[in-house]
Amino acid sequence: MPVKRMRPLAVYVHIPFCVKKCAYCDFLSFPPEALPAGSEETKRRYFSALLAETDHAAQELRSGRTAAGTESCQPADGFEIRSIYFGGGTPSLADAEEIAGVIARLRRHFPVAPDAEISMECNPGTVSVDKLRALRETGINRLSIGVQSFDDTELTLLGRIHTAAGAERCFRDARAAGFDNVNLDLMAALPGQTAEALLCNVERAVSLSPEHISLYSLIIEPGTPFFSRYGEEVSDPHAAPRSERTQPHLPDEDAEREMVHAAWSRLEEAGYHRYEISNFARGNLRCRQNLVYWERGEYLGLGLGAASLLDETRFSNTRDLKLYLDAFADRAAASDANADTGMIRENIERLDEPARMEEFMFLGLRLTEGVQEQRFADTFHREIDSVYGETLRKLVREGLISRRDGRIFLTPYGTDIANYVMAAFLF
Amino acid sequence: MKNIRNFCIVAHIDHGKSTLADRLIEKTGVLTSREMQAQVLDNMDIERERGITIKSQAVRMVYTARDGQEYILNMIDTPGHVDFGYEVSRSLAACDGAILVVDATQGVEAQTLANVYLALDHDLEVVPVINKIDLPSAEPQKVRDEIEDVIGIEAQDAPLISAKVGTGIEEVLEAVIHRLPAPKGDAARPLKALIFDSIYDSYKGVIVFCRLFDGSIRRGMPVRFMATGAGAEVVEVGYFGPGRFIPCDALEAGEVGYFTASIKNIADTRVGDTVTGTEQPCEEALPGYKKVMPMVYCGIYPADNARYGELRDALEKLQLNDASLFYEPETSQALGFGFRCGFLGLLHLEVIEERLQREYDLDLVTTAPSVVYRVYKTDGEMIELTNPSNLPDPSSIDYMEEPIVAGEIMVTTDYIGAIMQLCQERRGKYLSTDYIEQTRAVLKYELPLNEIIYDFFDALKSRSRGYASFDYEIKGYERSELVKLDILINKEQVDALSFIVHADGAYERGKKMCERLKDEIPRHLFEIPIQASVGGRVIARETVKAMRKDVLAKCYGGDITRKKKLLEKQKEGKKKMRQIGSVEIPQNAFLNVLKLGDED
Repeated sequence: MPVKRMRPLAVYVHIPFCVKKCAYCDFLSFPPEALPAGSEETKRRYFSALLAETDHAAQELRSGRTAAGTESCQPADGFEIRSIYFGGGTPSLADAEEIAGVIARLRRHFPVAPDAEISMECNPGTVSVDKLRALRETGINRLSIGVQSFDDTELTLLGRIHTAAGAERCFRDARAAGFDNVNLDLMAALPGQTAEALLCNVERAVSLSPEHISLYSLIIEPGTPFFSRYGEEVSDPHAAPRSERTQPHLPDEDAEREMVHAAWSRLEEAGYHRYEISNFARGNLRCRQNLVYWERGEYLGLGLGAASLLDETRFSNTRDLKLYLDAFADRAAASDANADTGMIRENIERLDEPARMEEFMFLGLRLTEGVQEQRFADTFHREIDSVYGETLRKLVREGLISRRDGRIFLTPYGTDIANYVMAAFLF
Repeated sequence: MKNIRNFCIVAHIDHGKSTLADRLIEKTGVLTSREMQAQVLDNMDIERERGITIKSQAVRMVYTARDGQEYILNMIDTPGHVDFGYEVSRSLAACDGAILVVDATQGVEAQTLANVYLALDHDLEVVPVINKIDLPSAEPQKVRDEIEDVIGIEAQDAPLISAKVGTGIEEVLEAVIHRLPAPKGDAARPLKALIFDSIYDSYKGVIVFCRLFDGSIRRGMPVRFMATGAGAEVVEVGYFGPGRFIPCDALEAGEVGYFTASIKNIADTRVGDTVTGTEQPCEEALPGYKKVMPMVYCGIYPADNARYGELRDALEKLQLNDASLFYEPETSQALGFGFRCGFLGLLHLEVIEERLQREYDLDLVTTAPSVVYRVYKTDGEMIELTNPSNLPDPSSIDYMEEPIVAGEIMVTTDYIGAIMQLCQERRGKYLSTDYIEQTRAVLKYELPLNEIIYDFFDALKSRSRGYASFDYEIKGYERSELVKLDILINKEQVDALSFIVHADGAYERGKKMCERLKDEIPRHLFEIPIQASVGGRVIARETVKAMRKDVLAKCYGGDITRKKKLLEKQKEGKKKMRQIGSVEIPQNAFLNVLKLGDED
C-alpha cells in the first residue's frame, strides 16, 4: 500500500484576554474591566466555546466542507497538524489545564506530527517558573516572550506590565522549565528611541541567546492611546509639536531605518539570520507557523477573530465576543446541532487565480529568500514572466528586487519599501 | 396692474433671505407646509450646501390682503454673490421695489450696503425688515437706528420678524403692498420685456424669464431679441409657480413670467437683453445691457485622459444653462488635453468644478486660476492673456496691465490693523476709512484682482475672526510690473504650474510654492528637486527626499486580508496621481500649491 500523503495543517488559537491594554495595542484583546460578566467566568466560557468550535470545525473538514461552507476540491480527511500557535492577547494568562484541553481536543480530531511546533505567546509579567513547567508539560515546545524593550522607561511608556529584569527572569525560567526554542519580541522606533538605545536592547536580547528574535517597528494604530498622542505626528510630519507637552518624538523615517538597519547588522553578526522582514532565527529554528502564512499553507483559525485559509478560501471568525460565546459556549460538543460555525464566519473570500497569484507574490516576498519561479509555474501552470514580466523588469530596473538562481527576492532597499514593491503585484 | 407688486429681497449673506422667501411662499398659501422643501427657491444641491443662491429665479404668489383685495406678488430672487453682480443688477431692473433684510444681531454689513445701493441705483423703493428677533442677542432698536444712520432710509416702523420661527411674516406682506409701488407701463404699446434669466430645458429649449414693461406677449407671436438679433416664435407663456411653471394665454405689461420659443442656444437669450415683437417692435431697447465677460480663467483637465470627450460633453451641457461659462480646448504638456475655462469669479469656478464632479462624475485636475492680463507688445499688438503659459517672450513685451477692483471691507475696529496689513500684503492701495459707528468702519481699497482670487476671503475671515465682510467691483486695468513664475519639478518645467505674479512678490511666492509642493508630492524612489524660476533664473528650491521606508512589520495571526486591503489602498492612491516626467503628482496639488497658508 502506498504511503498516504498527509495534508499539512497549521492551527492558530486566539486567546483574547490580557491584564491591561498596552498603549500601542490594537489587537483583539480584553482586559478584565472590559468583561462585564467577570474575567474568570468569561474565560471559562471562552475555553468551553473553543472546544466546541474545534469539534465543529473538525467535523466540517471531515465532511468535505470547509468551515466557510464551500465544497472542498480535495478529500478533506488526511489533514495532519504540523504547528499550533496560541496567540493573543496574553495566552499565558490561561491555565495550563485549559491549554492542555485545547491541544487534547485537537489531537482527538487530527493526527499531530511528532515534531510539530507548538508555540505560545507569553507576557513576562504573567508567569512563574512553575506555570512555565506546567505549560511545557501540555506539549508546548516553543515560547514567544513579549519583551519589547530592556529599558524600563520605554516599557513604562509602552504601558507594559513587566520590567526589563522581569523579562530576563522569565527567559531563564523558561529555560529552566525546559523550553529549548524561545523567541524574544523586540520593538523599534519607539518614541524618543535612538539607534544606540535600540542596539542596547538588541545586545541584551542576544546575550540571553534565544533561538529566535522578532524585531518590529512600532506602528501607530488608530484607536490606541498612542494614536491620540502621536497620530498627528504620523499623518503630518511637519506638524508642530504640541507645545504644552514635552513628550518624546517618534523617530522620523530616516532615523527609523537607520536604527533598524543597525539592529539588523548586529543580529546577523551575532548569528541570527533574517529570514523574513522582521524575523531572525539561529540555524534552522525559523517559526514554522509564520512560514505557513507566507507560503500560503493551509491554516485553521480558532477563537475570536481568528483568520483561516482553507481550500483557497479566506475567512475569519467574528470579533464580537458575545456572539462568539453565544454560538459555542456551554454546548454539549459536536452533537449539538444548534451550534454552527456559519454563524460566526465573516469576510469569506474565495480566492480566484489572480488573487492567489497576488498573494503568492506579496506574501512570498516577505521572506528573505523570496519566491521560487519554479513554484509559481508549478502552482499556476504558467511562467511567472507571462504574468508579471513587465512588473518584474520595472522593479529590477528600480533596484527593488533581484532575480537569481530561479528566485525573486527583495533587495535591501526593496525591503525598506516592501509595501511599494508588493502593491505592484496587485492586478 | 395696480394689484401687482414686483420685488426682490436683498440682504447680506446669512441674514435670512432664503428663509424669508420660503415663509412668504408659505404664507401666501400656494404650497402647504408639507410640500415645502426646506428652501424652495434654492433648488440646486450646491446652493443648499453653501447656503447661497446662484441662479436667480422667480415665483408668483397670490395674497389676499387685510383690505380684502387679492394681490399678485412676483418675487424675483437675486444671486447673493459678487461674482454674479451683473445678473443681480438685471434682476433688480425687473423689480419695482425691494425688501431689505437685516440681521437683528449683526446689523448692517458690507453686502447690505452694496446691495441696498444697487437697489437704490435701480430706483427701487426699499422696505427694511429686521430678522432674527427671536435670538437672545437681537438688538432691533440699535439696528433700526443703524439702518437710518448708515443707509439713510426710514426704518422706525420696519417689521420685526423671525423668518425662522415665522413671526411677523404678514407684516412683511402688508408692507410690500402698501409701501412698494405697483408697476407702470402700457399694455397697448409695443412689447418691451427685460430678460433677467434663462434656463435650458431639453424638451422646450430655452425658457426665458422676463419682466414686461410695455405691451403683451402671447402664444404664436414672433419675437426678437434686440441685442443678439435672434428671432423666434413664442410657443408657451406662463407664470412661475413655486418650483414649477404654470402656462397661461398671455402676459401683459407689469407682469413677470416666462416664455419658450424653441430656442436651442442659450447664448441667443442674454440676460439684460430686451425682447420685443417682430411685427411691431418698440423703438429702443431697455438700458443697461452688457455682455458679461469672464474675469477668471483656469485649465480644467480630466484626471483620466481617456475621459476628455466626456468632459467636453459635460461643459457643453453646463453651458446650455450658463451663458457666462466660457471654454475652449487647450493642451498642456503636463496634463494633456483639456479646456481653458472662463468664469465670472472664483465662486463661479468652484460651482462649475463641483457640478462637473458631482453631476457628471468626472475626476478633474484644475490649474491655478488666472485673471485676464493685457500684454502690450513692442510691435504695438495687445494680447488678452488668459493662460500664463502663453506669455510671449519677455523681450517682445513693452508692458503689461492687470485688472484692479474697488473693494470695500467692513470690519470691527479691533481688526482694522490686521486687515490693513493684509490689504497691504496683497498690494492694495488704501483709499479711505469711513466709520459707520464707533466700533465699525468701512475700509476702501483698490486691489489687484489676482491678489484676491485665490484665498483672500479665507485670509480675511481668519484675520478678523470672521468679523470682516468684503465686497468688490471691477474698476479697470492698470499697468503693473508682472513676471511669469515657472515651476520645475525634477528639472522639468511644468506648464500647468506657471503663473503671473508681481515682480516684487515673485521670490516670496516662488518659495512658498516650492514649500507647498514639497509637502504635496509624496516621496519617490529618487530625490526630486523642486525649483521656482523667473525668466530662466532659479529663485527658490526645495527637495523631496527619496523614500526611505514603506514597510509593515507585523502581519498578525495570518490576517492577510487586512494587509491586502492596505496594499490595495496604496495602489488606489497611485491612480490619483498625475505622471509628469518620472514624477507622480497628486491631482489636487495643482490648486493646493496656490493657497498661501495664511495663519490658522
